[in-house]
Amino acid sequence: MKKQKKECFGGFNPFDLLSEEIIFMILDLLHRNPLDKKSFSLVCKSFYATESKHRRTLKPLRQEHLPAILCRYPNITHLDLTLCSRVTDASLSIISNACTSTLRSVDFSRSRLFSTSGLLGLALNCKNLVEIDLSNGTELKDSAMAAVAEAKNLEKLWLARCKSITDLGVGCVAVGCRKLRFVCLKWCLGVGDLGVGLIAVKCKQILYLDLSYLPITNKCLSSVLKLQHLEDLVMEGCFGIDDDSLAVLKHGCKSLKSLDVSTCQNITDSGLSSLISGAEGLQQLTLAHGSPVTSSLADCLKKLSLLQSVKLDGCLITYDGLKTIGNWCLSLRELSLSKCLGVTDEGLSSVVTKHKDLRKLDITCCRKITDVSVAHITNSCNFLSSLRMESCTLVSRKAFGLIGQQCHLLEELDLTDNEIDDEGLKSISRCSKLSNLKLGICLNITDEGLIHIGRGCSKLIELDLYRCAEITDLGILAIAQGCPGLEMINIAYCKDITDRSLLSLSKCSCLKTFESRGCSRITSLGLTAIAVGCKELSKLDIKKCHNIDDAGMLPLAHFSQNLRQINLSHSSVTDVGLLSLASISCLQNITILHLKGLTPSGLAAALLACAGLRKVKLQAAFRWLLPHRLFEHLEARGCMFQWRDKVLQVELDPKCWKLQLEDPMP
Amino acid sequence: MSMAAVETKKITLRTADNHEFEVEEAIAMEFSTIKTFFDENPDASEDTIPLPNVTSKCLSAIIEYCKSHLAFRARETSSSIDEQVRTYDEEFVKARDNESLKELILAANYLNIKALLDMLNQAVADRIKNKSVEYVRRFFGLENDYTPEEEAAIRAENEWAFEGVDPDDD
Repeated sequence: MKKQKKECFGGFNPFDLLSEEIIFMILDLLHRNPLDKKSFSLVCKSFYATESKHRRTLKPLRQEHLPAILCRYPNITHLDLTLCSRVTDASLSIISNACTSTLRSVDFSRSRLFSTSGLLGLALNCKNLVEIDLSNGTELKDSAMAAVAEAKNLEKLWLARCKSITDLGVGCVAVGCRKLRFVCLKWCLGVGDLGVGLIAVKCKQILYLDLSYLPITNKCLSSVLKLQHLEDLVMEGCFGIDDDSLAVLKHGCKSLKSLDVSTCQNITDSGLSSLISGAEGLQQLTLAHGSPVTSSLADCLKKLSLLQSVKLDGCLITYDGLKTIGNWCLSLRELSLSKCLGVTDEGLSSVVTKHKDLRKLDITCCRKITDVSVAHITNSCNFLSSLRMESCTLVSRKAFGLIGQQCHLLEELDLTDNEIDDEGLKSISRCSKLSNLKLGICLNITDEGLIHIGRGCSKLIELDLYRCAEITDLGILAIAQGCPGLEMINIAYCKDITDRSLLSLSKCSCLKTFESRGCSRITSLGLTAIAVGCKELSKLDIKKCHNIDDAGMLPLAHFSQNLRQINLSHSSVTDVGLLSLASISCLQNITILHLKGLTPSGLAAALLACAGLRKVKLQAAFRWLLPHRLFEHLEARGCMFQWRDKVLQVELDPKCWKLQLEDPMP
Repeated sequence: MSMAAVETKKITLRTADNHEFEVEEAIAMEFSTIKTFFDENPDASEDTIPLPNVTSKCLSAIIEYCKSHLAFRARETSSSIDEQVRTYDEEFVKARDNESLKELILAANYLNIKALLDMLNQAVADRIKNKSVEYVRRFFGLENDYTPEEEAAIRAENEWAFEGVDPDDD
């Protein structure tokens, strides 16, 4: 066979014939691990050339690198500058010259130092620019908005927290960027009715509008509601809008699909009624932290025949309110009653028995509900894909068996701080689609329960076992073997876990987040296994793992090239270990409190060597032990410091700790 | 297998190494290149189609693949069928060495069989992901034509100049 092949192809490599098109297809499939495409470019010169043409998204680490990498990658459409805290006008000039026709989207939301002239160059040169994110631009003034207005093809503009812009600036944008479809003005406290009104009148294509926390009144609302294509309106915290001002509205918004009026304490059922009149297409409604949900409020929502999702987080709900919701003709798909006061078995049951099509139900901290509600939920809502019931502590162990019996389509289940035991987990293991399971502070579960989960839930991606003190290596072994796609696991304060668990978890090659706070029996050996096996590791928390020392840092430095965030507090890592982490170029976030082996000079060396650092949490004492200029230099480089003075806290017995939490509220 | 009792027309294909394959019309139509050819020349169905870019080993594997997938599609869609298709695809790819994988890709591309091409590309991606540069070189049979200085410069730029994340990963 081989001889035949050589005869046909004359002995040369058939792969030479592979077209660029096919290589592009293969490159498209290498999206999980960012290092794969980088390795690809190192293979040979022709692969380098192909990869250079293929890349569309770029996230530079420092603005100094822009000239070189924009030269290497000529087809960039999306430029993410969130890792470049300093971006000057000179850099913007380089960008506008390098990516003239290809650039479509730029993210400046974490960058400062650029000004109007830089933005003007960008807007004028990059004719295909459709999206600019200028969120957090607290220093940007109206002149910058006039510059943005030159980007005539702009469709998406994010201006959250741009406190210094006023109606004038927004007006410029409204007149210049007629094709705008997505606009966010959240927290732009200088913008009022005039600016918003101008946007509504001039930019007829608007689809999404976020006006949260703006000092607007009903004056601009009438223009806003006249927008023919508006689908998504967010007005969180708009205190200037109340029932009276809403009463004068004459026009409804037929195209509206999603409305968010969270934290609008001045809107009650009459105001809401005026707001949604004419909005027959409304599908999603968020009334979180608003006025009490009474039967009259629930009543005014009755005519919305397409309503699918309602979020009432943090609201006071009356029994009549819940009963009225239960009496709607349609069935909701998503209902959130998270942290709502007044949710009782009676009320909740009357809702779930009618809304049989519920896919997502959130009853976090509805502390009054008992087994009765769980029985009704499981009986009625068999299509549930997400159930969150953190801290429903009156629900007894037996009730959890019903969840596994009836709700087989569950993908997300949050049972944090509940009484569930191994029998309950055995039942839940029948939910074969389960991908996200939170069992934090579930003190009754043991390895036996986890063994069931390992057998039944092969699609598990996230598992939270925070403070499940009875768990040992056996349970983790079962999970590691049964859930090969695991991406996140939290075993904080599971004191009996040893390196054996880490060895078994190292086979989960997709693991991205590993949290093992307070697991004092694990050592550098276990950590090494994780580093070698889990190449996608991005977030690591080994706080209070006293037996992990420098020997665990060296393998991380060598193998974990995707590590972005690490917490080493209270471990036995010293200057040497910390310094070795400098070879991880994407390391951005480190927490290094109470490291006995850390000296001022060692810390200084490590901070200087870790070129990509953006956030460091450390002992306040170091502030005075090191030269001020060092921190100035690091801050100029883009690194932010958080100083902590916390005294070491002695670890409490888990049950005692939990009882403290349950103290009656004042 | 298909229940329909239709007279199955056969198309003859000749590979690069001069082997002739007779395939049922239904299977030949899976090859978009051939389908397009027949759409434009409906009278040419009696002729033998030359495939100068495909070896007999490749073609027989591809015919097997298309036959099996046609059979799968003829049955009702269900999750157990999906499972079987997945297993079949895995087995199809598992035994092949890198050389034959590449040849199959070239053949699938030439014959324009999208599903097979996608599946094979995924198999290649799966084999080279999370691997070293040297492994990828050996896989594709390529020589390192960088000087040590060039290679070091690119490595430095890769590590320190930018992050390789794609939007869907954020």
